[in-house]
Amino acid sequence: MPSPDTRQPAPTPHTTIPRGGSPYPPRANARVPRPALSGRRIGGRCRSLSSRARRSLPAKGGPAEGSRRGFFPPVLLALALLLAGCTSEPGGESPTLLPEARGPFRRVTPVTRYAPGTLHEYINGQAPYVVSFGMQGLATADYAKADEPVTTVDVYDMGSPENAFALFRSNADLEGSPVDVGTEGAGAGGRVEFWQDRYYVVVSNPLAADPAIVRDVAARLAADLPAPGPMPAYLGWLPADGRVAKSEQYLPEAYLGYEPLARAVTARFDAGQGETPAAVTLFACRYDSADAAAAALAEFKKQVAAQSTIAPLDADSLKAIQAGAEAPGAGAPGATGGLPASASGDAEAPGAGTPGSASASSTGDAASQVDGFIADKFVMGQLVIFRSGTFLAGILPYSGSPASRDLLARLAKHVKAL
Amino acid sequence: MERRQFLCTAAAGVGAALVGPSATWAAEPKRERRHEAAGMVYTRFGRTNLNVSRIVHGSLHTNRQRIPLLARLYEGGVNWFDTAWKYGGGRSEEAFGEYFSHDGRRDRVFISTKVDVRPQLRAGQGVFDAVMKQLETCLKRLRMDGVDMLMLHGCTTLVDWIDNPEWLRAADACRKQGKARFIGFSEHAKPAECLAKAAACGRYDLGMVAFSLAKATWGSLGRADVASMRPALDAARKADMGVIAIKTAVEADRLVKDHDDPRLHAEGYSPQQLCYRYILDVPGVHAVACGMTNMTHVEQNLKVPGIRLAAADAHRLERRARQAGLCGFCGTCLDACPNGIAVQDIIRLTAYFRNGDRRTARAAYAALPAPERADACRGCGTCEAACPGHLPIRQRLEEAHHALA
Repeated sequence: MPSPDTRQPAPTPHTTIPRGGSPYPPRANARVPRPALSGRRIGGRCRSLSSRARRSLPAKGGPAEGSRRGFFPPVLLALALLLAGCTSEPGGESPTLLPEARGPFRRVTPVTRYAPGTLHEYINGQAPYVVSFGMQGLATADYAKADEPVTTVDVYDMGSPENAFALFRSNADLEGSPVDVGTEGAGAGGRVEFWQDRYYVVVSNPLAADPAIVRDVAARLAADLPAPGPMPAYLGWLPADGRVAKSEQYLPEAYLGYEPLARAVTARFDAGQGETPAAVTLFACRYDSADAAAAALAEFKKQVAAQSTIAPLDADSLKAIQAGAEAPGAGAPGATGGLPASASGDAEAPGAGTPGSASASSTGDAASQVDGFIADKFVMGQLVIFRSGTFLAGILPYSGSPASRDLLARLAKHVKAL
Repeated sequence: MERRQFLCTAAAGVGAALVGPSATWAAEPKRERRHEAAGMVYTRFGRTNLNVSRIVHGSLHTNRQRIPLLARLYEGGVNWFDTAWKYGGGRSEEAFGEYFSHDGRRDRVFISTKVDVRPQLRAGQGVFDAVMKQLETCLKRLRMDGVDMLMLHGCTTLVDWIDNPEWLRAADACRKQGKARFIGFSEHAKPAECLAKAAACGRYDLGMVAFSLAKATWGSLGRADVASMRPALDAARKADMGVIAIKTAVEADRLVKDHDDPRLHAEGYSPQQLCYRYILDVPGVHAVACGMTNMTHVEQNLKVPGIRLAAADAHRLERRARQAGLCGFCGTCLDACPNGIAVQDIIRLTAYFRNGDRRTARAAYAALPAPERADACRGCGTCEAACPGHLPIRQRLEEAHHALA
C-alpha cells in the first residue's frame, strides 16, 4: 500500500493555495488504468451536450472523414503530430464495473466518464472538493429492473483506498445512517454511498418505491470490487484507545479553514465521565519535515491571533504534553502508533531521524522545547495545539480537566512515538 | 497567488460604496435588519426587504471542520449564509446548525437553503412530497424552525421547472407553515432565461443565478454576459425580485494571466475580488455568493464591498475578459451555424482532450455524425460573427479536428 503522502494529498501547508481551481500540481499517476471506465464519454446524462449531439449518440461513428478545403495547413498538421506524439493511452483495462447487466438490473444508458478536469460537467461546483481528495476518474450509468425508475451508479476512482476513505468519511453520515455495504457504507432513503478498495461509490434512486433496490444495486457492485483491505494507515496518527467509532476523518487541506493545517487526521474521543461535551476532537497534521511543521504552526498562530486571543501553553497542558513526550515507550523503536504493517516500511514516515524528534529524544529535554499555544476563545472551544517532530497535534475543545489533560498526554505520547 | 492592483481603491467608508439596486428606490419599505458590521455593505434585497450583506457565504464546501470560517464571516459583517439540502450530503447544513444554534446567532442572520427535486421534476411525479420531506430534513439539520429563503435547486435543466405547479404549491405550503419566508430558485447555466421566467411567473422573491464576467460558467449552456443579462435583470427589478450572483469568479485567474497591462501589475486585489466587485456593480445584482474554503478566501472576500472599481478599470476588465478568449459554452455558435456543425460539443471535447481525457474525447468525436464534425465546416464565419465573445471559432475547430480525429 502506498504511503498516504506519495499521492500528493495536499500542497505544502505554508504555501499559498491558488484560488479558482485545484491547488494540486498535475498528478504523475493521473493516467493509471481505471477498471470501471468503459463506454463512451458522451451520453444522455451529459448535461452539456447539445440535443443534436445527444440524438447522434447511438450512431457508431466511423473514422474521421477526409479533410475539407481549408483544413490541414502545415502548421496545424505539425501541431496535430505533436499532440498525437504526446498521447499515452492507458492500457490493460480491467473488467468493467458498469457492465451491461448485473443480476436483474440492466444498464439503460451508456457509461459516461469524467476526468478531474471535466468532473464539473457532472457535479458542478462540488468538483474541486472531490478532486482535492485525489479523484482520478468517474464512471456513471443508469440501471433499471423491469419498469422500476432508474438507479444511478457513480463509481469514483480515487486512486487509493486512503483517498476513497477520506472522501467517503467527508460526505457520508456514517454514524447516523450506516449501511452494511462495501468496506463502509451509509445512506438513507434512495441513496447509498460506500467505499471499497480505491473506489468511492454513490448509488441513488430518489424515485424508488422500495429503497432496498438501491442497497441491492450497491451490494452487487461491491461484490465485483476488489476485496476490502485494511483501513488507511494514517488513522494510526491518533491513539486508538477511547476513539468514538467511525468518527475519524482525513482532511487534505485547510483543516478548520486554516491553510497551514493540512493533511489532518481527526477523530472524536470520549472526554471522560461527567465531561461536557461528552466527546472532544483530537487531530494530527503531518508535514514533510520538522521545519515545515514549525513553520505551519507559526503561520497558524499568526492567523488565529488575528481573530482570537492566544497564550503560551499553560502549566497544566505543558505538563501533560511533557508527560506524554517523556513517557516510557515514547519514541521507542517499533512504536508505530497502531500503523498497519503495510505502512511500517513507509520510506517517508517520520521517525527518529527527523530533526525535531531526534534532537528532542536524544537530549532528553523535549519538555523544555514544547512548541505550541492555547487559543482560549477559539470559536469551537478552547484549542490546544503543539508540535512534535513532523506533526502538529491538538485537542478541541480542551477543558483543562484531568480527563482532558490525560487525553492530551496520550496524544503527545502517541505522536511522539510515530 | 499573485495579488493585483487594478487601480481601484478601497472605499474610505461604508457609505461611499453603498451602490446598487436599492439606490433606485425613492421610497422603499422599511428594511429588516440583522447583524451588521463596519466595513461590510448592505442592500435591500428586493421585495423581501431584507437588508442583506452584499457578500454572501456559499457553503457548498462547508462542514463542521470549517466552522471557523462561518465565525469569521459573521464577525466581518456577512449576515446571509446560504446552504442546500444537497451540499456535502447534508454536512453543510449540519455545520450551520452547529454554529448558528448557539448564542442567539440564528436570529442575527438570514439563512437560505435549497431543495433538490430534479429527479421528481424530471419524472413528473412526487415533487410536492419530496419538497416537504427535504425541507423537514433541512430544518432538522439546521436546528431551526424555518429558513428565511427557500430555493428550488438547479433549474437549469428545464427552465419550465420554474413554474412547475407542484413545486409552487409546495413552496406556498412551506411559507404558510412558517418554514420558509421567501421563495426563490437557483440555476447554474441559463441565468437570463431563468430570471426572466421567474419574473414573469410572479411568485418568486429571489433568484440565484450563475453570472460572471468571464461567461465561463461551468457546464454552461446559457448566455451569461452582461449585455445578454440586462433584459432579464430589468424584468427582475420590475418584479422587485432579489438577485444574487453565483459562479462569479469562475476562470478569474485566466482574466489576468499573461497580461501585459502595467496597470494590472501593482500589488492589490486578486482577480477573484475584481470579478466579484465587477458583478456587484451591475445594476440589478444585489449580492454575490462566494464559496470560501479557507481564511485567505474569507479575508479577501470581506474586502470586496469596499473596493471601488473605476469605470475605466471596469472597461479594462471587460476587455481582458474578451482577450482571454474564454468560451462560455453558450451555444450561440451552435444555433448560428448554417451547416449544423456541433461547434459547442467539439470545443468542449477539445477541453476534455487538453485535460488529459484524450481517448474518450476522441471516441466522442468519432461518435458524432460526419456532417457535424469539424472537418465539415465550410469556413463561412457565421459562428464567429454570432459569438458574444468574438472567439476565433474556425481556428479552434481546425485545431480540434487535428487533435481529435
